[in-house]
Amino acid sequence: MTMATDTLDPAAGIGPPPGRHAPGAAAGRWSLLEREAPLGYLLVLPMAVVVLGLVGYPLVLTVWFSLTDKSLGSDAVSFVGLANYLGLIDDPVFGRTMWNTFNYTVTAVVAKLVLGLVMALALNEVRRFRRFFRAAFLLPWVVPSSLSVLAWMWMFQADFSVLTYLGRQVGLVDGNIPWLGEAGWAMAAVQTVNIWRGAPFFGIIILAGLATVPKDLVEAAVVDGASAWQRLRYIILPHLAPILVVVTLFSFVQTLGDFQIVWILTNGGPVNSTHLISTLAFRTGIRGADIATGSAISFFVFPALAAIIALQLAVMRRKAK
Amino acid sequence: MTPSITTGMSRRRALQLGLGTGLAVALTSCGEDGTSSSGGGDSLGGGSLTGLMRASFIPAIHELQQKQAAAWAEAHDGTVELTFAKEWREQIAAVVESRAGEDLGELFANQAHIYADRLVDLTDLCESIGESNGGWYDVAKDACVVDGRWRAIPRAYTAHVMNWRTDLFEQVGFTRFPGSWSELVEVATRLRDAKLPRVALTMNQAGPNDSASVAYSLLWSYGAAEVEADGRTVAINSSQTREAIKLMQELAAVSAPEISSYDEGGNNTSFLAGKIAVTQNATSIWYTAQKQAPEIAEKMSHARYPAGPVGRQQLVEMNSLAIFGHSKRVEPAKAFYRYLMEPEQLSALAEIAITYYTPLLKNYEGLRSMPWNSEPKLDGLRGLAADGRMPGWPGPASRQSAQAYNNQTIVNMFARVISGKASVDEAIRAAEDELKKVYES
Repeated sequence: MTMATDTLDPAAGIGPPPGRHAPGAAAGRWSLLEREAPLGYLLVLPMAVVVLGLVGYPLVLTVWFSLTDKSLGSDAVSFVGLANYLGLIDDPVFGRTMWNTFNYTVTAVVAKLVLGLVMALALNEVRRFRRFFRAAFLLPWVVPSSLSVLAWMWMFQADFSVLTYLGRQVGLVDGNIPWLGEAGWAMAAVQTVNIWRGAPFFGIIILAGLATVPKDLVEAAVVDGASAWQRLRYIILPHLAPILVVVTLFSFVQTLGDFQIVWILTNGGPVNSTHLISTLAFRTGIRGADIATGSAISFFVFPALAAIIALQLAVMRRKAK
Repeated sequence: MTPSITTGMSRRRALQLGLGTGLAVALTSCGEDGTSSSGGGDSLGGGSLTGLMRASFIPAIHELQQKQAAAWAEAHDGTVELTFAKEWREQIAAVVESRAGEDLGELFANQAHIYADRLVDLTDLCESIGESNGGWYDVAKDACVVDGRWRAIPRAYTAHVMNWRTDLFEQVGFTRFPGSWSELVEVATRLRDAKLPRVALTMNQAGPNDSASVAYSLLWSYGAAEVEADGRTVAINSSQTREAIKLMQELAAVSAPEISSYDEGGNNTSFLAGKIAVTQNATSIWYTAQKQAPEIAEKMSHARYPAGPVGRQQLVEMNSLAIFGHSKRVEPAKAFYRYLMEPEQLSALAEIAITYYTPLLKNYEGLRSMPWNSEPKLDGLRGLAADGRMPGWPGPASRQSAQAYNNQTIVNMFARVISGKASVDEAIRAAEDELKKVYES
């Protein structure tokens, strides 16, 4: 059996290879596809359609819903302009939610950055079982959050919390800690889970970045008597800066849109004290069927996300230059 | 030298293959849903009915329904695929809004009012079921009749009741469950003073259904309500509400401190571990106790919520059956529901569900097979449906009442005071503001 073998020459992609044309319009179309540029567009097209369909369409629909009085399952829809947005401005639950979202995001991202850096610096020094430790540290990030949050739910259980038990053993607390029953504890609890889950991601990315720090520079600093802190401050961190900025901005986007942790652990409670924009939008729009207000709520995260993404792109562009 | 890539086929051939495969996959995935229905009548004609149902804590409930569905499907030349999901409410919202997906759905609380526009009219079926079974309780009609038409079949309610430890109550001098809320405070005080496991009626957003059942029932039993009968005028700011909150404050002060922390399952776990003496829940605690903690099962019983100054009131957690308007198999779906509502099938469900699914048809009250007639520990649940109310009562069940329920405004009103973060008046004002946005905007 013989197998036909074609040779594709990228340099010859501008025009159709000689001798391949069949007569007629169909042949013309095929020859068009054999040129690099149209083929490139054709191959990108399915992904563009998917992105536009799964992101663009819902986005436009959300904007439209937020300007109407649309309820889930209702066919009667009227345009109400900005009424849904204006109605949120003096809503204390929404105000609290905006603050919660800011607090949750900033606290968690900063903590993840610091812990991730520490984790990476420590892993960088490990020589034996390095792969094992790297895989172990990455586990929280890899395990589906819906599963890991259920495990945390047990650890925060009112009567049987292992954390409370440990606190009692070392004499820190007396009685049960109201992990999910008091506003301050509940916010700390959901932030803790987010940090636990997200810090390994920072750690692994920063660890990869550490490989780019010139060893001879560090060794020269050691010879010159620079302390560990000075080496970190003046050599390692400046080299890591672009990576740190990108991973931090990426984490801001992820954390700002977080949903599962809060929804599973607290449902936004107690007394709406842990609601994030995503959970409040879900409760209002899906559970409460008020999809118009839910859409308006979800849109308040958009300016922050847009600013972060613009910043991220600017950093990446500067880095590319 | 120009690098070259060698493959086994031409680019044209690869594109043809790719497009062909894509088209084939697309056509295949269109498949059955794109085809027409089974034609007229009850037969599925080889087709399939699909349904989204509520997942309960009792697996036997799912198993029974799957068996019933399979038996009916076999006799009607097709299949019935029921999916039991914990997040079925959200999935139903997606199905309704997209007008695509499952044919059938189990609706929660007053969802029949929310989705009425997109549900099949089941008036004939519901009226005939009611006539053959002694009629429906009022709460069933409240839940499922929208503008005079039945949009869902009120198959059953989940009875939220007091799960209590008879042995602990006996130790503080009570051989029966308290008949009034103030008497419950007395028991709670004695349990605390005796350093025994305490009363624990949860009041927390993380346990929304349990908490709401006590919050609404207590409120109504004091003659208070979130809205007037017109369904528009907010009525929460009243002396009756103040009295109800003060009672809850007194009760919380002598209860387990964890009442603000329990989620929907936390109170179950603690009760099963013997940590608390009373909690509100469906009878699923007892079901689990019989398997996992028989010593607790033996020493526990159930009771209806105590009475307030205007008697007993009870929030009902409704489970109703609907057919989505986009279904192409409406007649078989109706026939399937008619079958599920036959006394043989419904009784079997009620028996196995031990009041997790309690029929709302009056003839069932006296049936020997009903849990309260066959099990002494469930005796106190008799007649619960007659006092049953939907969220928003005495106003009509509506989109607004569903929204207020989902916002957990009433639960949070009590929770604010219990936590000490707000005075009674502040909590009422906060609730009033939230309710006005819902009912009067």
